[in-house]
Amino acid sequence: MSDLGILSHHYQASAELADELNEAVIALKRYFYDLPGKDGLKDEQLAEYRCKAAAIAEAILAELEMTLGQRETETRPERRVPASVVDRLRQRHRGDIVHFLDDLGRTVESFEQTGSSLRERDIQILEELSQTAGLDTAEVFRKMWRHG
Amino acid sequence: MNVYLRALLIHLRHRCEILRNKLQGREYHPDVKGYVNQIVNLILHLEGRIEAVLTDPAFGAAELLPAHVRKYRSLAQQVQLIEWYPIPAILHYDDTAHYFFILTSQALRQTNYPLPPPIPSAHSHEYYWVQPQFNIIGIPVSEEHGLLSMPDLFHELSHILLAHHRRDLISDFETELTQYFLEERQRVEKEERAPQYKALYDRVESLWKDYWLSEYIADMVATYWVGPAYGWAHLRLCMSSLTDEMFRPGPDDASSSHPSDESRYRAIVAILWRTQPGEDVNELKEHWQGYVTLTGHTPPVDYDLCYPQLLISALSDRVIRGCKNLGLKSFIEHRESEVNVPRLLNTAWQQLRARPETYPLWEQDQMGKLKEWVQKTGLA
Repeated sequence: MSDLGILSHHYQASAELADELNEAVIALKRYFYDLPGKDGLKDEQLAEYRCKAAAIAEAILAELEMTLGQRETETRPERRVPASVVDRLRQRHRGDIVHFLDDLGRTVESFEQTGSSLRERDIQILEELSQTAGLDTAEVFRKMWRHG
Repeated sequence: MNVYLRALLIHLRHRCEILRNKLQGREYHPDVKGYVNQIVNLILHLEGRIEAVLTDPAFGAAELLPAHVRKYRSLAQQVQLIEWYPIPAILHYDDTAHYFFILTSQALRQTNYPLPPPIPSAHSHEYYWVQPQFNIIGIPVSEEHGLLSMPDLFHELSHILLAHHRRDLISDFETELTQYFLEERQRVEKEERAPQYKALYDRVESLWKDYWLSEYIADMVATYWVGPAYGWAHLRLCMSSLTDEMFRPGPDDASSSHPSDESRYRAIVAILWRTQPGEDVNELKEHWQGYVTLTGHTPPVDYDLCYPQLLISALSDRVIRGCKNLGLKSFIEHRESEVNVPRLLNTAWQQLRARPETYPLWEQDQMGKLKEWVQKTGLA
């Protein structure tokens, strides 16, 4: 049996997450930096992107906190995040994990409060999450390439 | 960079057109007609997404450039996957693929599989494989002449089932995994064990969640469907094609997408014990033990940390419950009927063990009957 079945599950989970994050990044950056096309964004669309960004960021925060024993596992959000994405973030922030968790938590709150304005740090964090999910997807895709 | 990215997107859109043209304007077997439409629509959808980037009024803005590059990469990957899997399967769809389409459809009906049957690609040079995203199964060229490897087809089908019914199959087992590894890491601290154990648990937890869990579930569902035949096929695969290092990967090289063959064997046995304990399982266990002894391999130090029996047992309970909730039929629930694929596979493995000399003739005879049945049901 080839690895393809296993890799496909991982690829799909990672690619879906990366795509969702990337769409949110494009929409929210367009809004935040006042880029062309901003006027075409309806309030409901913006609220939806904020909501999605909040749900993903919260799922990642939950995974990080659970592996550190800072959150009860019973409170795990429904949303699945590949463990390798969480690992990458944990590795990258090994030296400043407490600070990063704090930042991520504030970003979740910020995205959740759809009426309030966003901070540049929220956008930067979202960009980092999107970049990390993209890297993860690319790595699994490379493994699948051998089978293609 | 903007100009270059724009050129790449235009080229990707052109590649989509080429792929679409390859599929359109041909006659297809009725088995795949609907599938071809699905793939054409998927390509059209991708073309629409490419167009949306190209016409984005903010295309070229420095703030969006990294996200647009990521989007290009994601779209290019999707196009590539379509080119690798569905298109060759469609363009090379032949009589053998049709035979497997009908055989798989009938076998899946017998097991109460709740999804459309997959499209077979009957020219695999990589044994059986599956691409759940496109509902495609790769089947080795000589498979239409034998029965002994066919249990592995059910393993691949289980991957498709898992892609659609993960939550139904394992409920919140991933939470149990997190809790388990968290407690193990806490134990490392409490017992003042070497700190590298924490890193090992981190790595193993990741592998379980992203890879191994899927493979165990596919093994368990396949065992639930076809019973001991799947265990015998696993043993044969270990003895013939795979490495005889059944305890690898272990703690020192835990990075492989597949868990160890020994732990997969335990996953199979866990399902057999919970469905029909008895002679068959004991015999399989004896043979497995005999094989392990013969190779001289023993589990490396800390092997159990990677593959705790506690987790395998807990998972098997979940999978059985999940299969029942989904209404899937286990191998013990099949009644005598004209042809029943899971029963036939078990009979084949019994025949091989009981009468190896006459097995080839017996199998040839059974394949003839199976083909007649497939032809009859395919026409119905």
